[in-house]
Amino acid sequence: MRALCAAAAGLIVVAATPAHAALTEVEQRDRIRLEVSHAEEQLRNSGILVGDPALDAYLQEITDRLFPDHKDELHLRGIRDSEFNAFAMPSGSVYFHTGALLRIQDEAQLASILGHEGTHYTADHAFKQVVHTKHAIGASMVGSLVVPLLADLVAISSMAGFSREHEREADQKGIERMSQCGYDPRAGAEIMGRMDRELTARGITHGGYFWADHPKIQERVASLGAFAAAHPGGTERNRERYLAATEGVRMETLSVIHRRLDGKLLVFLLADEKLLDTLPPRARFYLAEGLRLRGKPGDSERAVVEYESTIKQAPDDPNAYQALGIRYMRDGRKAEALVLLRQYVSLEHDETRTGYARQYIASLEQEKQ
Amino acid sequence: MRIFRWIIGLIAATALASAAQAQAWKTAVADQPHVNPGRGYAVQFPAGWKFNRLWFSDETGATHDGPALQVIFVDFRAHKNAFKSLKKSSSLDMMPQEMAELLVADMAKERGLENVTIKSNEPAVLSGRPGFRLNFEYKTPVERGAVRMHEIVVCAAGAPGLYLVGYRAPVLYYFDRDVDRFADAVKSFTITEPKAR
Repeated sequence: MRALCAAAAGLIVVAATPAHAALTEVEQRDRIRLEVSHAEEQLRNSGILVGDPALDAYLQEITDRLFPDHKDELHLRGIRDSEFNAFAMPSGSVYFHTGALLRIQDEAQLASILGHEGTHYTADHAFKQVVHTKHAIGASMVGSLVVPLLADLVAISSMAGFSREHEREADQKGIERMSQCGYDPRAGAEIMGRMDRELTARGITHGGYFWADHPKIQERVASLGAFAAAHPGGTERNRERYLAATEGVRMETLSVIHRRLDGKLLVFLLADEKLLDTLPPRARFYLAEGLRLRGKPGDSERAVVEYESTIKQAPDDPNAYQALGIRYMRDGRKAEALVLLRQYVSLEHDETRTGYARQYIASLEQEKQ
Repeated sequence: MRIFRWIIGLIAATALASAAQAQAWKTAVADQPHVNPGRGYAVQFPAGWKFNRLWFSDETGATHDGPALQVIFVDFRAHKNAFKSLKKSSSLDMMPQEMAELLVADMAKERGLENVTIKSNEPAVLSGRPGFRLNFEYKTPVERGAVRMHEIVVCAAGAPGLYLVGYRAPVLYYFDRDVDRFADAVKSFTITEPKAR
């Protein structure tokens, strides 16, 4: 999905371009509607939609609160993708990455993104973008030949796919709406600032990532701050409600980053950005794993401390027992390893996950005799 | 200008000849294992199945209905380049559990998969060597049809690299049909270590 999102050209542009001059506005809109409908069907079949009715309902509730005047037009869906992104389709569908939900810390921050995306739809930015880029037919056509349909749509519909003018308008109107609803408008600049720090930490400067345009982000952090100052009043954050509604999907996203063995990102998010404070105690296991995988000087020792903390704070969660048991086994602390691995096996309800631990236990017991 | 055309013609002819060569599928015969001395293994593919080196990969695959519908494959990866997408290597003494984790991350990155479901990841033996058996499902990316696939990989390390014997097929209809044939292929798999060149 990340690769798809990275695509540069816009299919909506292409959809309206070849016979552009000959099409009326109504025809152009029909053509875009058709292309979007096709792309959304692909998205539904892709297996990456979260499909959690409770999560979708929660996101929908916030959107409806922000856009009561477009209540039956905007429809929210979660997408399984560990990167930070959200995008609004010209159909009114807004797709929200689970990676964004992981990084957001309260409902006000969520509202700032939803306000922004909803404004792209209500202000008709996708269509205006088509009209605006009609002179770039040649380049767009070349793009359309080499990138997939969905990528094009997502690229042009996403958080960074619009012109600077449209992004600014979406930021401003999004902040206005969230402030009117009672949300703390400072949340917009907070979440954008977080992304700026992440890009710096990950050394991402260009390509392959939607937020790679640093000056643009820094400019938006400043302008979001200014918009918030111009529309004070709201104070609502709803942190606990947000964290409860998204806990499952945020933990799942962490496990996806873990499965990718991206230790650097785990440490950045959980320790440097303090997301650990927003997650259940068992999430500390992922910090320990992040340290083990990152492997900077001192990380190995810190990982052991974090495994031990996880066991203290979430004694019923099996993962840290196994990881620490393996670590002790490697360090030659065999008696302690045996105890931990046995605990892991007794706590892990899914027997298909205990095969390695059982093998290690058998081997350690054999050595003991 | 004429010589330029002649060179282009020559390149095209070479490409066509290579393509023809690549398409030369052989038929597996019972009790006659496919032996790859260069990679150091032997495997008995199901009798009557066609096998060949698969396009755009270093895998040798056997199939009955076509590689997109079902394939039993053997992949050898030199330790140095074992997990190319992650730029990580493997070693003979690496723990199978660690190898399995690296393989999952490498595959997900290489194939652009965001939706891998690990059904099981457990210790296994391949050609008498300790290894792992990974059983997982995923959907291919949208541009490749969003097909729900089921895949099993059994892997063990030899001195020169990793040996992977796998089976992948669409969940719908094909996977269950030939999974027993894959089990037979795994039983027949022998690591012989590559001969010095």
